[in-house]
Amino acid sequence: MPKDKKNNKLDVEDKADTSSENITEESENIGTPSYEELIDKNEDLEKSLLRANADLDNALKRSANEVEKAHKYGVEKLLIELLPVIDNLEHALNNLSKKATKDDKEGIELTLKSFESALDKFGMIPIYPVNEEFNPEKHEAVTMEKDENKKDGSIGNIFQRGWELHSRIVRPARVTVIKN
Amino acid sequence: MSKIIGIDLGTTNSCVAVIEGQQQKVIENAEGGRTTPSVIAYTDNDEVLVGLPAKRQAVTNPENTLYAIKRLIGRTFDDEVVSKDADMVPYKIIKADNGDAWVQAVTKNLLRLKLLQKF
Repeated sequence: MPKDKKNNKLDVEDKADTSSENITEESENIGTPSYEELIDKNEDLEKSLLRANADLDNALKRSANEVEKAHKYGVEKLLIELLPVIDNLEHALNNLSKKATKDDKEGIELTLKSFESALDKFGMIPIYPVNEEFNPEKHEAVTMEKDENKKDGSIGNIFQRGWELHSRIVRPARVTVIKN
Repeated sequence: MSKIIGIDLGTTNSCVAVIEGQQQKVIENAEGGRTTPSVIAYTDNDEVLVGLPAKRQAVTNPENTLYAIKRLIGRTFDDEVVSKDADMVPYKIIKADNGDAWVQAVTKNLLRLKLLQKF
């Protein structure tokens, strides 16, 4: 075994010798870089430094932007899930049974109001386009209808209110569009 | 350093992503969606709508709302798939001079005749 170790050592030394020879050969081949080459290299490095700085700047701006968006729209999913609850309260108001008292109605109305003001605190604004032109950015056309009193392309009935969160459409208002 | 961007142009939805460092990142559209419907619409006001707004007004403007047109790319008008599509979609599929299947959208004032050719 000790013999083997010795051999290994020798091998390593041999390799070290050859590699150092290689290095000296290479440096002889390349030689010292000329002044022009160094200037070129310096220019390249300066350019890449500028680019790296610009990239870093952009990345910082983008991450700041993303943090802001996360703050603004982080609650979006939760709010979307809450919208059907509001819809149901509205349906309840519109379809009150005959047995329901005034107080019942008032109770639902107040609940709906407090719900809406809670959403408003997070920047959720309802879209209820009465007498407006149809705008596909905010409204979704469900069907067409005729109404002589209204202009083509305006909104007839509103089936469902829409909602926007910080001017991003969370749910478009579902409407009918007039076409005579 | 060159940037890398990838576009998945789908028949129904499209998606765009970039490589940031070692990670890919899907770019969101104006409404925060990670995919955008592959729909384009030419309105009577000579507006061109793309994505969700185009989809939302499809009921009001079916002849000029083009969707699923990726299915037509590279096909001739006489292709079986094209004639099947032509019966199903509300927009017009027409035969080009060279036999390709093109789609046509005509706005109300007839100022523009849109021929989306073979891309």
